[in-house]
Amino acid sequence: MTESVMGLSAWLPPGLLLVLGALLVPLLPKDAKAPFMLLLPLLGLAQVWLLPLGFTHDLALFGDLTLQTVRVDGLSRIFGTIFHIAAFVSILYALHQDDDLQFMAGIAYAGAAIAAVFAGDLITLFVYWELTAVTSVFLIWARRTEQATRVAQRYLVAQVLSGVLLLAGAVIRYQDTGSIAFVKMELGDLATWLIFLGFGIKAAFPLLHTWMKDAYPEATVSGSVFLSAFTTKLAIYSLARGFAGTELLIPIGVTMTAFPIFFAVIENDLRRVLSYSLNNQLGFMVAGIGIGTELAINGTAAHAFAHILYKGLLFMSMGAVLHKAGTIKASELGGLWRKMPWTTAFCIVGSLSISAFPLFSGFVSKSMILTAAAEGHHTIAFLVLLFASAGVCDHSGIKIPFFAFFAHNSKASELVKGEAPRSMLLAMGIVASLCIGIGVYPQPLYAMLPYDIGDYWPYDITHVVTQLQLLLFSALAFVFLQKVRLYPPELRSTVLDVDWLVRKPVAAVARWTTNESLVFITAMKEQAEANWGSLRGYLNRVAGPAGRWGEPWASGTTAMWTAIVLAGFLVIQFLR
Amino acid sequence: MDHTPESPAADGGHADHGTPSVGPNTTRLIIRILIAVCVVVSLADFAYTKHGHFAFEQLPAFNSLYGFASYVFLVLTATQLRRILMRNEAYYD
Repeated sequence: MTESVMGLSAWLPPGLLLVLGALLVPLLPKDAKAPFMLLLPLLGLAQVWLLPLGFTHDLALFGDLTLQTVRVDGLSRIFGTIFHIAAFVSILYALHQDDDLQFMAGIAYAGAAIAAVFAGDLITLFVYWELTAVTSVFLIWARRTEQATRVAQRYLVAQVLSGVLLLAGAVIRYQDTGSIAFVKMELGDLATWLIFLGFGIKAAFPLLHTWMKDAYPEATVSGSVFLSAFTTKLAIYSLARGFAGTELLIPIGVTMTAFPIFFAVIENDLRRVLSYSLNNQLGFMVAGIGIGTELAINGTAAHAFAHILYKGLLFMSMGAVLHKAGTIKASELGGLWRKMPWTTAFCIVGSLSISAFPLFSGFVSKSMILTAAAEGHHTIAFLVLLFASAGVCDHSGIKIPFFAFFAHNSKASELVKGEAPRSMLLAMGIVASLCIGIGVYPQPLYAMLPYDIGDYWPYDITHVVTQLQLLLFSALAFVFLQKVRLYPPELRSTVLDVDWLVRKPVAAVARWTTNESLVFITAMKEQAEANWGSLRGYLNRVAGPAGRWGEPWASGTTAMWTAIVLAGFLVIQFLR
Repeated sequence: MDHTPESPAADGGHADHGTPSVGPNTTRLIIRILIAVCVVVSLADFAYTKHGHFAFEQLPAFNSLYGFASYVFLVLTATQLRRILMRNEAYYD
C-alpha cells in the first residue's frame, strides 16, 4: 500500500488531488457534488499519512536544476494534516450554498496550500504560493459587490507581491549558492531578506498586516472560513522551516500579539475583530519561531493546529450570524442566543479555546510557547505575551460572543427566524468537538509534533491556577468596566489602520499623477495628431491620386523598368 | 476631516438597543459566581508550591492582578484611540 502511494505521489504530490478535483466540481451532477468534494480531503489525508516520514520525490527540470516536489517530515506532515481537516470542515460548512465558484476556489486554494507545505525547494514553493493567491481571491470576488471587487484587487496585489519577493530571493539565492533547496536560512544577504519579507507579508507582520483585516471580513460567509485557515499558516510553516531561531522574530511576534488587539477592542465589524484576533494569534506563533527551541517550534506547530480549528470555528459562527441576520456589525446585533442556541454554544467553545482556558485546545498549545519564552528568560516577551493573552480574552473571549448573542436584544434578534443551516451546524459541531478533544486529551496532537515532546505536560497546578487567574480576572475587569460604564459601546464606524496611508495620501498622489499624466498625454496626442495631419497632407500631395508618384505609368515604361531590374540580377549572378 | 471625535458616527452611531437579553437575576448570579471563583483561584496560590522562571511569578495572585490591570489598560487605551482613529462608516467610500 505504502509503495503504491509513494509511486502515486511521484506524479500527484499531496494537495494536487484537491486542485484537480476542484476542476471537476462544475461537471458533476448536483447530487454527487457534496460527497465528491468531501471525499477529496479525506483521500488527501490518507495519502499524507501513508507516506513514510523522510519520503522525498525529485523532479529533474533542466540543466542541473532539480525540483523537490514532495518532502514529508514532521513539520510538513502536521501542517498537511490540519490543512486537510480544515478543508473538510470548510467544505462541509459551505454546503448550504450552491455556488460552484466558491467550492472550486476554496478546494483548489486548500490544495495549493497543502502542496506548498510539502514542497522541498523554493521554486516549487513559489508556484504553490502564488496558486494560493490566485485561487483564494475568488472567495472575495464571489461576494459579487463593488466593494468586494476593490478589496480583492488590494488583496491580490499584496499576495502576488509576497510571491514576487519570494521568487526574487530564490533566484538570487540560486546564483549565490547554486541551490534552491528550502532549508533553514540565516538572515543576512539580500536573498534571505527578500524571502523573509515575502513570508512576512503573508504572515501579516506589523505594518504589512492590513491586507488581512481588509480582505477577510469582505469575503463570502464560507470564504472567510477557508481564508482563515490556509494563507497565514502557510507563512507560519515557511518561517518555521526557513527562519527558526531568528531572534528578530521575537520582537516582531510580540508586537503582533499586542498591536492588533487595540483595534479589535474598538472595531465594530465582528469578522474584522476576528481578523485582528487572527493577527494576534499569529504573533504567538512568530514569537515561538523566533525563540526557536524544540519546545518553541513544537509549540508553534501545535498552536497553528489548534488555532486553525478554533479560529475557523469563530469565523463559522460569525458567518452563521451574518447568514441569518444579514449583518455582522456588533452595533446591530445582540440577543441572538435564544434564536441560535447551537451557534451560540459553538461560538463559546471557540472563545474558550482561543482564550486558552484549561481543558480547551488553546491551553495545551499556547502554554508551550509561553513556557519556551520563560525558559529562555525572554522577560519582556513573556510579559507582553501575558498581556496579549488577557487581550485575547477581551476581543475573542468576551466581545465576540457577548455582543453577537447576549448584550441587549436587537432588531436582528427579532428578525432572525431560527438556527443556522444544518451543514453549518454539523461543521461547527465537529470543530467544537475537536477543540474540546484536543484540550482534554492532547496526546495525539503532541505525538504529531515535529520534535519529541519529552515529559512536557500542560496540566500542572501552577500553570492551571495562574492561567485561570489571568482569564477570570480579565472577565472580572470586563464586568467592572461595564458596571462603571467605561467599556466602549459598539459604534457604527470605520477604524483607521496604517493602510490609511496607502488608501488616502498615497492614493491622492497617485490620482494626481494619473490626472497630470493624462493631461500631458492628451496634449502629446493632440500635437501628434496635428503633426500627422501635416505629414498626411504632404504624402497626399506627393503620392496621392493627384500626386507625382500617383500618376498612372504607361505599360511600356513599366515593362522597360522590369527588364532593367531583371538584367541587373543576371549581371550579378554572372559576376558571382 | 469629516468628523469630530465627539460625534464619530454621523449616521447615528450606536444602534438603538432593546432590553437586556439576559434577566437581571441571572446576570447577578453569574457575576457573583465569577467573583467567588476569582477569590478562590487567587487564594489557591497559598495552597501549593508555585514554580516559575521569574521572581515576579512568585508574588501571590500575580496573574490575577496582571490580568485585571492588562485588561483595563487595553480597553481604556483603545477607547482613547477612538479619538484619533475613528471615522464615519462611509469614510473610504
